[in-house]
This record gives sequence, structure tokens and C-alpha cells, in this order.
Amino acid sequence: MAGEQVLRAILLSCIPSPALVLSMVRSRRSKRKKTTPLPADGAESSPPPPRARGRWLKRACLVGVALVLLLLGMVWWQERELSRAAQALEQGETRYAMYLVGKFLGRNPSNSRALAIQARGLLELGYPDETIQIFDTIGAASREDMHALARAYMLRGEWSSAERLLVRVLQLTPDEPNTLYELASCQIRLGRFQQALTNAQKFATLPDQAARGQVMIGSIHGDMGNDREAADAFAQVLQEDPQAENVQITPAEFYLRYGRVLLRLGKPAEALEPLKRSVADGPSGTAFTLLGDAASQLGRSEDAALAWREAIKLEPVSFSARTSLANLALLSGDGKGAIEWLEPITGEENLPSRTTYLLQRAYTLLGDAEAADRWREKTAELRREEQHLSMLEEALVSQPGSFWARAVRAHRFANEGNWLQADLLVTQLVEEAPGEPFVIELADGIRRRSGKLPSLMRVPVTRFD
Amino acid sequence: MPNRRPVIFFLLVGLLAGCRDPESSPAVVAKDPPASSLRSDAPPGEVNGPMVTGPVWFRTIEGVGIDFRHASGTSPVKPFPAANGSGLAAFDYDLDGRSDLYFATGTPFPLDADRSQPADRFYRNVDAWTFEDVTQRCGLGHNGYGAGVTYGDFDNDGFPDVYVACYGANVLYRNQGDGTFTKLDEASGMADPGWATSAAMLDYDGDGLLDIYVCNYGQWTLEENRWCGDRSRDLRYYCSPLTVKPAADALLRNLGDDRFEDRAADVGLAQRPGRSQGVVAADLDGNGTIDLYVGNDLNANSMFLNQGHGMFADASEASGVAYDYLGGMQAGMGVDAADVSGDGLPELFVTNFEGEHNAYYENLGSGQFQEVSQQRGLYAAGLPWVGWGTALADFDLDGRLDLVVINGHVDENRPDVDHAQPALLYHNTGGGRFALVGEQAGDYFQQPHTGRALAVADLDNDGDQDLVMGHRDGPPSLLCNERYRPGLSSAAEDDGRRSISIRLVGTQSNRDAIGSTLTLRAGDHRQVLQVKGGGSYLSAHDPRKLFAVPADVSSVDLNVRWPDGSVSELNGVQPGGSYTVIQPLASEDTVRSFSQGGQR
Repeated sequence: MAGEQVLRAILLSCIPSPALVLSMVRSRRSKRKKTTPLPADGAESSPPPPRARGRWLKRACLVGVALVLLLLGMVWWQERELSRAAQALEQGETRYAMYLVGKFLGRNPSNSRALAIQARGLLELGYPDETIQIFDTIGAASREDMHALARAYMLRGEWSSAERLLVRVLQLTPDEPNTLYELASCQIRLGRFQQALTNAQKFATLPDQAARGQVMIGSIHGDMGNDREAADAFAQVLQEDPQAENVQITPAEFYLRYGRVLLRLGKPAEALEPLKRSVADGPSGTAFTLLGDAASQLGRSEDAALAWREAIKLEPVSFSARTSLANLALLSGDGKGAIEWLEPITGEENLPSRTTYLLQRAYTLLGDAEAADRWREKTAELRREEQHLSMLEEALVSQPGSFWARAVRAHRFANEGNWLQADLLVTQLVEEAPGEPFVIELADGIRRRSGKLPSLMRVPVTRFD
Repeated sequence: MPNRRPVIFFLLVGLLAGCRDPESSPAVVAKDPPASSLRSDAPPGEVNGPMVTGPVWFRTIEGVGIDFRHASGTSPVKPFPAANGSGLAAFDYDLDGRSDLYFATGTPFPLDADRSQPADRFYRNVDAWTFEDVTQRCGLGHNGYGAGVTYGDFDNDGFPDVYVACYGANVLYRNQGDGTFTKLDEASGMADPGWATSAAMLDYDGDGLLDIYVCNYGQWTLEENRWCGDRSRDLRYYCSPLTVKPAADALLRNLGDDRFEDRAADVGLAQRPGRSQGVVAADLDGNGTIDLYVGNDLNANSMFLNQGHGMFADASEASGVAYDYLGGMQAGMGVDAADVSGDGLPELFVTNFEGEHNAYYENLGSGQFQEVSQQRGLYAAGLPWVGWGTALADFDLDGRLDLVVINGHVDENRPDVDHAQPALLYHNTGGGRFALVGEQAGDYFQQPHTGRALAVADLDNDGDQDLVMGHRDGPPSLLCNERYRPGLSSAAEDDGRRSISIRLVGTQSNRDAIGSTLTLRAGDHRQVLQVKGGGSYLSAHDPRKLFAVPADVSSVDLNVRWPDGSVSELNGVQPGGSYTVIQPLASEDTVRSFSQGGQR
């Protein structure tokens, strides 16, 4: 920083001061006066010696110009290194860029441009915390810097901070594809699906972005429960990119999403193909489970069972696959078989009510009333919780800006370990309703990073069982 | 051991007048002319211009003289009851052998009790596909907020009475037998000011008098109506059912003197308030008593098994019909019960909301059911739609029950959903599987509708079952059954299959014989049908039971198990006609009682 001040002082010293400029102007005037005859009465006093003064000024000016040129040259020479670093960063040669900028900063440790390049480089190398730290010090003024800072926030899951910056970046460069994409991503995370959808739709109209854009549109619609629109968008992706190879997510993930939506639309026959592709491109428990579901809905129980078994091989604790296999056993009157599928997962966390319900049914069919009753009670308890959460989920989509929707989102961020974003949200909530016990407890849990959060069952939802 | 008594046939001259006094000729007989000769090649009503070429199963008939248009009373504040629509009923009020049609309607909120014009409408079936509005002449036309409609001869006078379940006081109209109805006054015990939906008539205690099961949805008032929807777009939607506190259903016991009293709490029915929407009364466990199955909105569906002596046991949880196959609560809209598998025990079908699936429960016996929607081909096609009215019926007379479901979304202003949705027709292809019928189902099934009510009735007395579809905020549709079977190149009637239409008249049992079981046998062919109370959604079907008879069969045997447990055997019944079967009388006292009722 001190170096920069010196440089600025030198540069400023090269620029003639207003007083000097004024005196130079006067001197020019006086030169003109020299050829003008004096008034006849000679009333004015005689001027200072003109030649000596003119020479002095001329020399000073020349020296000044030379100095400026010299210093500009020095600056250019130094900045050339930074330009090369910036260029390398843009070309993806991050390590080389970091070498150059590091060298520069060795000589000019407070150079803000160099620091900004370094911050951007650190981001590329996966150090968002350091990036944010540097920009916190020097500020992010340029479009590139703001964009980098936004991306750093995104990496840390601070979606609202990132969103704010991305909106500003987009004002500077409207229709910049990456910014639009990232902005929509942030808005999805913040549950602002409508705004995300608008940006994703804009993104999809940009040159060469149709496939990625449609994937995003389809995913947003899927999150909002608009399955038909989601399926339309995913179908369009395949028109743009038949192999779904350049769509931001892996082909396996894309086909999984597409297949899931088709299943929800009651189109198991159409869902088979994408689900098979998903399994082929990247086998996963979820993909096999959905493939089994599609087969089952088409009445192909044996194929379904095969797929569900594969799912369990990949994900031994697959509630869905195990539950489906247990149901298949029940359909053939095999209560014991059903229990065998479910027993291994009864100790798992987040046990869903569908699993315990099938245990209830299996024991009922086996005539074990006591066990059936035990599982009935457990099922009722889990079902109540699931229903409550489902109502909260509905509120998150339909009224994302409401107080309780934001409270639930803060809770969810905290639960995911995204304490920073949770903190941002809960701070606002505390300001809005300082006396709300749930929010106070939530804020306390978040600030302590304790993971001891109030139960979402306490969120007041008007609901009647 | 049920009594076996000689059966009395009564000739129902279906197309002739003079059938208004059934007890006047309690003897025999048969029957209408063969179905094919009754069919009109050119029905008086204009046939809707076909969009589908080739044979179709159901053809929409227009210009039949029905100008009813349903009004839900919806408004920007989204009054909850307006989401559900209103029902309809098909029954023969004047005993002329033709099904007449009653349509209920809603009204704007807040309710205006002083409306001068009747809201509900009633149409007499003059001839096949010709109806006349007789609302005023009959003294019908309830002007409250009508939801469900059902009928039954509560006073055993031989003429069906009409019950309208309402948001507000429910009403019971007594059929005077002279073509007019009178409304029972408040002393009858009808005036529950709550919010009723469907209703079913049944004789739960076996006293020979029809009682009324009334589904109550919940506690809702316009003043407490909440804002639900999408704030970001300022779109107001109907609230979730979970925002409405459920109310207990009522079981109105018929005291026999035009008065009813709610006995639900006394007989084991009131412990499960669940936002009831659809109810069917039938013998679900095969023990000869009439049971109840109730579809509840986002609550466990209820199954109450009649223990005899007027007491019920709650078998909802233990039977497996309270939830879907994974234990999930569903929206529980329309319901039906019928023996599809051919074992004599009825299966259950429940329509549900979009994103849920319609649930089909197979009866395993011993009070146990198993949901097999996926395995029977009934899972996927209903997923995107909101299902309401439904019926299991043999539409193509192949001896297997097919299935129809009417759909429509509750919200008319959501950009992401279709308010109007297509109805679904499933063909029972045998082997326990159903297949969705494509465009051959007919134009109606290709177009979206705001469907709610649905009733099955043989409107043209041609020996097959037609459909009446009720639409929220729209006119109803009448669909003529062309008996086309997928895979055939021409209408199925040409392959010679016939039907037998049976109407039961109880004497010792309730007059409508609700709770009876009919079994038809023809060689290896066996089919079991029940005379049920309620069914579908807010609606009531034609009471006549229709059996298919294979083309090569010249006569069939029919077994009737009456609600009181007595059994009648009818042998050598000729296919191709309509029969009225009157329960044999047991004693002079019964005869006297019957006659007194008939003099009304």
C-alpha cells in the first residue's frame, strides 16, 4: 500500500498544479505583452526579466514530462506482470497466474489489483474463504471481482450474499450466461422458484445454452411439483443434446430426473428408457429403485424385484427398495419374507412410516397382534411428523417469503451444516419477531453451531388430523 | 341357515306405464323385449359429432332436454366447499321403468336462504334420451348448498325418496307417490347445520327401515376462511384439507315415524372423524350384514364392519384399507365396492388426488384387504389427475367389471395444473388386469372436464349401463353405452351378448333391498353383485343390477340373499330382459304393512 502511495505521489507530482498552470498562462500572456507598445505616458511599472523566467519554466516542464513518461513506463512494466497474471487466470492457467501475482505481490504487497487477481485465483483453486477474506479487505469493485466474490459465497453456501452480488454483476453485463445460471441456482437454493424460473428461462434463450437451460427449468419445475412442465423441459433437452452430455449434470443424473418425473406423471412405460439409461451411465440405488417402480407399475413384478435387489446391492439401506420388496412379499402372502426385507433397517435414522407400516401389515397377516400394534403406534407417530413436514414443504413452495417459510429454511440450512446462510436468515427473523420462542431457540442453536435445533414439529402449522 | 322361499316374479313391462303399484301384482313375471329391439338407431337426442372414427364405447348424447348447469359458488376468496362440486342421482321416481335424474348444485357464499329460484333440478326420463324438467311440478329443487344426493324408500311406501346432503341443513324429500315430493320438517332430525358431503341409505340394524349414513366433511365457515396460495404471484388457491377440522359422520337411524336420530356414537362409528367424502354400504366381509366403507380426505379411510344387532367394529387399520399400500393417507374421494375377482367378496376402489394414485384393494377374505393397484394396471394413469366419481360396472357385458373414474382439479386459476381433466375408462381384460381404453372410449374421454359426480344408469333401457357425468360449474354429460369392446371391429352388441336387469323389492327387508347379494350362474359363468347404498362421489346409481349373459346361454339361475338373510332361488331365467324380484312375504302382518305403505 505504501508503494502505491509513493507511486501516486510521483504521478501527482508530474501533473502541473493549478497554480503552476495559471502562472504559465500568465507567462504566455506576458510574452504577448512584450511586443505591445507601452502606453505613452509609461505609467505602468516594468515587468520582470522575461527570458530567464521563460527558460526556467520550459526546463521544468520538460523535466516534468520526462519524469511522467519514466514513471508511466515503470508502472506499465510492473503492471505488465499483473496483466499476464490476469490473462493466465482467464485462460485457466491458475497456478501460473498465482506464481506471477505472487511474484508481484512480493514486491508490491499492497497492490489491490494484484490482490484481486490473487483472490480470484484462490477461488479457482478452491479456497473460497480466503477469496472472501481478501475481497473483504480490498473491496470487489470490478465486474470480475464481484463475480468471483459471488462464486466464493456460493461455494460456502451463502446463497443470499451471492445472489445480491450476482444481481449487480448482471446489471453490468446483462445476459452473461454464467451469471444468469448462477443467479438462478442461488434462487433455487433460497426457495425462490419463480425468480429462478424466470432467470433459467432467460438463460435457456441464450446462444448454445438451450440444453443446460432446459435442464435447469425442468429441475425447478420438478421441485415445484409441476411435473408436466418438468417433463416437457427434459424432453427438450434431448432435442438439443441427444446424449445429454453437456447439460451441467451427468447424463446419469439427468436421465434419473427425467425418469422420476415421468413416473410421477403416471407414465411408467415412457420412464423405462431414461431410467435404463441412468442405470447404464451411472448405476445408483435411486435409479435402480425407480426402474423397479416403473416395472412394477407396468405389472412386471419379476423385473421390478430384480431392479430393487440391485438397488439394495448399491445402497444397502434403501428404504424404498426394501419397502417395495417387502410389499411384493406381502402380495404373495409371505409375511415373514416381508419382515426379512425390513428388519435390517429398523434401527436406521429417518425411518419412514411406509417401512413401519409394512411391518405393521406383515405382523397383522402373521397374526401377531402385539407386534402389529407396536408398529402401528410407531407408524402413526412417523406419519404425523411426515405430514407436518409435508405441509411445511408446501408452504416453502407456495409462500417462500413468509416468516415461517424462512424459519424452516434457516432450520434446514443449519441442519445441512450451512451455518453461515442459516445465520443470515435467522438474524433477519429475530429482528422481525424478537419474542418468538422457536426463532430464539433456532438462532441460539445456529450461533452456537451446536446442532441442537428446535424440532420443526413446533412450527405452528394449522392442521387437523 | 337362510330360508329358501319360492320367488315371485313380477313382470316389469319396462316400457309401459302402469308399474306404479308393485304390490298389486306380486306374482311373476318377465320381461322386456330383447335389448337389441329396444335400441334406437337414431335416438331423439342429437348425437355429438364424432371426433373419433370407428366404433366407440361411449357416445355423448346432446339435446336431451337437460339444461341444468352446476354452480359451485366459487369466488376469489376460494370458499372451501365450492372446490368439491355437487352430486347427482339416477332413480325411477314414478316407477315408469326409466331412470330419472336429480342434479344438486351449490350457490355463492355467503349463502342466501331467500333465493327465490330453486337451485337443484330434477328431470323425468320421458323416453330414451328425452328428459323434461319436473323440478317445480315435483316440489323438488332444494335451494341451499347441495352437495351429495342419494335416494331410498325410507318409509317403505314403494316410492323412492330423495336425500340431499348439504353445506347447511340436509333435507329429506318424501315421495308422495303422486309425482310430488314433500320436505320433511325439522322435527325429522335432518337439520344438522354442518357440512355434509355424500350419503348412503342402508338398513344397518335390520329393522326393515332404511337409515342414512351421512358423511360430514368438517368445520368451515366463510368468516374463518384462510388465505392459501402463492403469495409471490398473488394467486389464491383452495386450502389444503388439513386446514379444515374434521367432523364426525352421522348415522341417522330411521325411527319409523318420519323421525331420525343420530346413533353414530352409540354404534361405534363416531370415533373416527375424517373429512368424509365418499361412502359405500355393502357386505364387505361376506357375513350377510351390511358394512360401511368411507373415503376420508387426507385421513385414514374408514371401514366399519357390522357385527349384527346394529353395532359396528372399526376394522380400518386392521383390514389394510385405511391407507395406500405404503401406509400413506390419501385424499379419499369417490368409492365403490364390487366383486371383481369373482370370489364373491367385494373389492374396494377409492379415487384420490393428483400425485396420489387411485387405490384398488383386493378382498383376501377374513376381513383382510391388499392394495394391488400396480399389479392390476390401475396405478399410473390416475396419478396426474384429481379423481372423484367412480363406478365398477360391466360396461361391455363380458361378465367382468370395468371401471370408470371422472377427474377434475379443484383450482381453476393455477397456471401449473389443468382445471379440466380427462375421465378414465378402464377395460377389465381378464386375468385380474385392467387396461386404460384409449380413444375408442369415445370423445368424452378424449376431452378434459371439470368432473365431479358420476352415476351409472341404463338411461335408454337397452340392457347396458350408460353414464351420467356431473361437472363442477358446467352442464352434465350423458354418455350412451355403445357396448364396444376394444379389439372388436364393430359394436359389441353384434356379438350376441345379452344382459339381465334385476330390480329387487324387499318386503321383510327394506323396500330397496339394499344389502342384498345377487349371484348369477350360467354353466361355469358366475357373477356376484350387491345392492349397495351410496357409492361413487356425492352420487347415486340406478338401483337395477345388470348381469351379462354369454351369447350361448339360453337361461341362467339367480340366487338372491336378502338383507334379512333369507334366500331366494330363481332358475331358468331367460336373458335379455328386465325383471323385478319381490321378496317373498313371511306373514300376514308383513303383507298388511306392505299394503299400507303402498297406499300412500
